[in-house]
Amino acid sequence: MKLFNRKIYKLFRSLKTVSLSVADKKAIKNQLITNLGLNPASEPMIGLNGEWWQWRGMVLVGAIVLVLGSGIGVSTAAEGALPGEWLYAVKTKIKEPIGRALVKTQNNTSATFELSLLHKRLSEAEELLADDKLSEVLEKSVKLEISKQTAKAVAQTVEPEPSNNDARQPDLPEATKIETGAKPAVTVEVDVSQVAEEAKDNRANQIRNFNELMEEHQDIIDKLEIKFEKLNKSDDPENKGQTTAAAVSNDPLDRQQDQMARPRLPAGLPGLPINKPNQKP
Amino acid sequence: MDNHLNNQEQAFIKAYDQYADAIFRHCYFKTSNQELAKDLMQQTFLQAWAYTQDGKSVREWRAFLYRLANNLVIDWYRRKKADSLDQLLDEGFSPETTDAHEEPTLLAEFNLALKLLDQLDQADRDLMVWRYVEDLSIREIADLLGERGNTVSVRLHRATKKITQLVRDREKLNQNNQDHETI
Repeated sequence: MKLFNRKIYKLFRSLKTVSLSVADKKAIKNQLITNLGLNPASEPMIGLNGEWWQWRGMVLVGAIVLVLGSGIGVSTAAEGALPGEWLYAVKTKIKEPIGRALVKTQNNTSATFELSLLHKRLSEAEELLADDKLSEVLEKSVKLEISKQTAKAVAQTVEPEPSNNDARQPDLPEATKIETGAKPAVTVEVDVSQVAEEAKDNRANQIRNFNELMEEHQDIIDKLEIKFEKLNKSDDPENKGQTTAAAVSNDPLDRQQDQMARPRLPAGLPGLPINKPNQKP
Repeated sequence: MDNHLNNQEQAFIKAYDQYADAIFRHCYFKTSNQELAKDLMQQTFLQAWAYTQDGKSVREWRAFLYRLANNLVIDWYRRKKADSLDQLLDEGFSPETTDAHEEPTLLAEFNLALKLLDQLDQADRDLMVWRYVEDLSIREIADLLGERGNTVSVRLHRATKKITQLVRDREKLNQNNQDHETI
């Protein structure tokens, strides 16, 4: 390469001496300038000397930004929506299921996510109560949403039941059934000996967190119970004297969800209170 | 809008002043014909102006002009096959610059460079001229050829190696001839 750099480079530079004569260059330039006058340039397709495709690209980028921006805007606005508002559907039917699907791809975060959603449902109810917006129409949907979310949160705090349930049951000691409410639907099965073997620290933490959360919202739940009780009294004489959670469990749909939500809780761990969330066994 | 037209015209004239010689050389090394190279150069600029007449603007004039000139040369090749550079040397072409006429060494180097170029294939010849005569960057050459910069670098390296070997062989031959004469 050294040889090239010194000798050959010089050889090639000599080729640069090939050029038009000054007269030729000037003559051709004059011809071209004449041509410019005869055939003037037309207006650019889109202003600012830009190629049309450059502008098309910018418009496309702008449209994408607009769509994403409006989507993010709606999503952000929906975050503060309360039951009864149109954005509430965006929050619960679109945003939260997406969040749930995303969370499912990561391990051990579903329970936390569901608990956070339960927290939201309770906060929404608190806000509605504070503003005295909890109408009769909203009452059912709020009740249903809390019930659904409680079921989901509870379901995440326990491991799924084995598919071959019958094969496993005989090995287990007889389950203890605890009546927790006036209605038969409100029962919790506590399998004492099995739990001692299978209990894991993370499960214990999850359940503990859940109970703490429920304790934290005891005031809201108490208020809800009072409110629901009043509404139930006025609606249905049979439900007189029932607490809110019990009322929830009397609803066929709620009862089904409630039953789904009832896990086999490990012994030695705090049980899941039904009527009173902070009630410890 | 007048400003725009003036700008277009000014840019065009400036491009002519800057690149007319380079485009002429490009056409000349490809066609080995001085008059033809001049015509092709002129056509290149006419086509460039016609392009701007459609309301399109040109950002990189050099690359754009080379591309147009290349297409015109290809068209010309299709009509008629070019003579080799040897024919040019036989006809006793000399560079237009006064320096070359005054300096026999420069003229000798020029002729040798042409002979060396003639031993390369067309693609390698273009690469060597663009890189070492017209000082185009690797990226500009890559844009012109529609290839990747790495590919151009590799091809350029091979062409350089080939030229270096040709020069060495030539020097060895000259040395042998001189030794022979001495004996």
